[in-house]
Amino acid sequence: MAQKAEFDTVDVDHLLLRTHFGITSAERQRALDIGLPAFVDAMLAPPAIGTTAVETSAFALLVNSSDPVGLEGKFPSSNAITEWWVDIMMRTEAPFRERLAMFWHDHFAVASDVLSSQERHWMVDHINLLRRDGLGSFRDLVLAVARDPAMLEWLDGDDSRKGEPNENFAREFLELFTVGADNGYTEGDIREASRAFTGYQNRLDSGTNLRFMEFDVSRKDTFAKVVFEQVMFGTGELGDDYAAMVDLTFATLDVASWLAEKLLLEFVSDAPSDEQVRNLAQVIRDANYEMRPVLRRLFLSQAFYAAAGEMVRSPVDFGIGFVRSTGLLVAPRTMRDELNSVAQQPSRPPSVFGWPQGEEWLSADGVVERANLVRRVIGDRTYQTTNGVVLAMPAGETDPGAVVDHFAGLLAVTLSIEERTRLVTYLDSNVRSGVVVEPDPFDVNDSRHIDERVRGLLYILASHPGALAR
Amino acid sequence: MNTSKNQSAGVTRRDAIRFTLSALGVAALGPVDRAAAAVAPVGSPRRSGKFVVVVELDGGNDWLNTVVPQGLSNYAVQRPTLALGSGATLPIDTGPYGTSAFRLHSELGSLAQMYRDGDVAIVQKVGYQRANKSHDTSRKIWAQGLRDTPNGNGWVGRYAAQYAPTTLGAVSIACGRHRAFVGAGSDPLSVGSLSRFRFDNDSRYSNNHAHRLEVLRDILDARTASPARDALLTGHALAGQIRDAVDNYTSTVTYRTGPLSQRLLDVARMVQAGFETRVYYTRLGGFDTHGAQLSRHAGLLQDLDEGLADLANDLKAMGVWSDTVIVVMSEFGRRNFENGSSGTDHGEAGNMILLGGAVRGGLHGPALTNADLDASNLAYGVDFRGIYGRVLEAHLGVADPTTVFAEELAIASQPDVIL
Repeated sequence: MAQKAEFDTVDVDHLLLRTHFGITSAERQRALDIGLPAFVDAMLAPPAIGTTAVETSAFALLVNSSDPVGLEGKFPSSNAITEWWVDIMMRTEAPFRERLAMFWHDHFAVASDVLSSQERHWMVDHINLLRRDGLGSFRDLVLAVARDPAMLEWLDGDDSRKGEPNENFAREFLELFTVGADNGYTEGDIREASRAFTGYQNRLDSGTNLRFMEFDVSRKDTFAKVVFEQVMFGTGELGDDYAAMVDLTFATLDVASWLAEKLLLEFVSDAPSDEQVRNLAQVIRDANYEMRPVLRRLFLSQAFYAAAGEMVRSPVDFGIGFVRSTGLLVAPRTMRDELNSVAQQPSRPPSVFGWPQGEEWLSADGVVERANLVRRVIGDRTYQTTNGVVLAMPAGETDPGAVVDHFAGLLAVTLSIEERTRLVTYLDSNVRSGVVVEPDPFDVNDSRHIDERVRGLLYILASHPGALAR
Repeated sequence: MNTSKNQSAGVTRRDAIRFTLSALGVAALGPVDRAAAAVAPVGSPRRSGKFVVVVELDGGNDWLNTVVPQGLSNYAVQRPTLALGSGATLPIDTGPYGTSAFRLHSELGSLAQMYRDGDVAIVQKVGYQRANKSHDTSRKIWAQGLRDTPNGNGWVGRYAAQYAPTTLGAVSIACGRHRAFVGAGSDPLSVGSLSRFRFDNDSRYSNNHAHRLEVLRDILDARTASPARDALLTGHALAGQIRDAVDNYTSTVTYRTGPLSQRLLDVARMVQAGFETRVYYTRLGGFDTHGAQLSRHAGLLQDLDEGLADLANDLKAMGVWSDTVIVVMSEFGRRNFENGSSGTDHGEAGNMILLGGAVRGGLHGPALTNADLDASNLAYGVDFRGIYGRVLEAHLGVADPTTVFAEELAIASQPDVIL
């Protein structure tokens, strides 16, 4: 994969749009200051999870006043889990970690819907697994997710036992998580793999009133399995066959191409070419499925920068991005509610297939919902006043054209000359009762102009076709 | 973003819109007018012509516990804990098509009554050749109506492009952009729900907000076509019309709160408003019952029964029942035998249920035998595309259904499910 040598401001904006939640002035400036390769290195080495002030304060959203001492945050509601993560996304200084975790969340697509109140803590653990290990080895991640309690519950792994295997996980393991549908395996392989994925049991700890997953060798199918025309025995690690099954899959089937295609669909193109898939798959094999070097090569490749603006932003990218770019932070509950309306609530994918992709997001109602999300953000003045939220105005600028250019740039909207003129006129107008529009020069020092017109400008820009693209 | 690149990415859609406009004979009209043209004139009778409502049971419905076979001993042999006895099922042995070969799940009281009224067709052993047990692949096969041509366009899209080429010619509700709709040069409407389909006001600055929307519409009108711009423009054009449909709708039927009832309420609103929609498509999720099936399935079938009953009663009250065909389908049936988790794994053939005043009621398709149930999976005897094709032909007036379903079917016989 050919690497790019020189980077300019356009490339910085492109990198932020594809790998962060939109563009912020601070992130753009930092990338320009230290250079794009160093910026990529830094975003691929975020601080250890749970160590930042943002995460500490977000954690409070998981805690109920009724939680027993020592079990604080173990009994969150489904909504609280979404709000916890969304709050981190809106405020984190390491947004790529969350973007990448959302990619894995779409890939492994576990939803909290099936978890009871005694099990819901698994969803927090699951998301933290994706956040913590998303930059490590893909092989290790697949194995960790396969044994993860939320996944065991989600795809009935805890119901798969000796003599009574459940095929649900085995099928999606191959079809969605590692190689793609009908790609080198048979229905017989699924049946045999489901025998390998046996042994875990969902149990209740009566002391804590929390459920936990336990490996019970008596539930494991201990006979040899014939998978991919090979006889497979367990490795003995943890007593289960999970590692053996994962390793056999990686050794036998074309996992690298499937991962390459998924990464390209997330970061490079809504329709990756066969050549792009081949090239990235080779990088993945060369790196032995280690994500950090793979992503570094990808984000510094010529291919990554070749098609700016040709992908559709997902609702989470769009909504979180709007908040981060404009500085208009909202309550986690507000953002969760709005993301529900635009049909992309983190922690609740619609099915094991994850969310729609690319142009699938461009439904007529979807774009109306996005406008309504923005309307809610620009109108959430009570929260913003109480929390001292500051709109990210351009420093020292008084000219309405400069205000238009500043926010158009942050929202990645390229305006035609006519559109720019129209928006400057919008800022230079007062609208009276009956929607009567009259000239009234924009004054950056008039707080009402900021509150009514600049927020209105953001609403218009966010519904510009360019704001839907990345 | 770069505008010129964005335009090149939108070539397909732009061509599609040209095609759509020329097909309508309204090439001189802008997209706003195009959408307006799709709505019946104000004051015209509230009739929208014949239409089809597809209800997809998402996840693979356990048809054997929905339309429960009677007198076939292997049913109970295969399902020692899941088999439904007479206390958990309802008879359909009276009326013009009365049969004692099946009983319906006890949560399907309204459907059973409509069967006894003669308005329900139950097609047996529906599927397609070389059944695929992947949710995604089988859904794709059903959505595209293609078995041997992977990654084609959707059958509703193909139908709409040729026979109902307006934004409202086909509408999906709560399906995202369903694959049945994608491609084929048409761009049917996809909504989450009708009542959410409006631009919220900024109450502190209502006048300014109205002006913002004006500025936006001007910008969108002036831009060259791209998928994003087209979606935005369609959103603006339709928001007002759909808001009116929701606000003006009246009915004596009180829809239940279940998800399917609420989605079908949106269908009724559009029918009553006079939108010229030919195919409505919606879904009910949760049918992937690998475990703890009995209670989950009962709840799902309750949602199904309530939704079908609410819509049927409403359409009857509107006087459009004879224009209606409702099709209930799922991407596959489930395994004949239960698994060890009190559930069922992915299977093959199943039923299709059609209801409406235009439906020829009764049992259709080859009879289910005890030998069929002895196998792991139910083999198919009717191709689902034959049923869809017959509905298009006999109900929507498509002279040649192979213009929508082009593949040659291994089993070509079509039960005549339409009056």
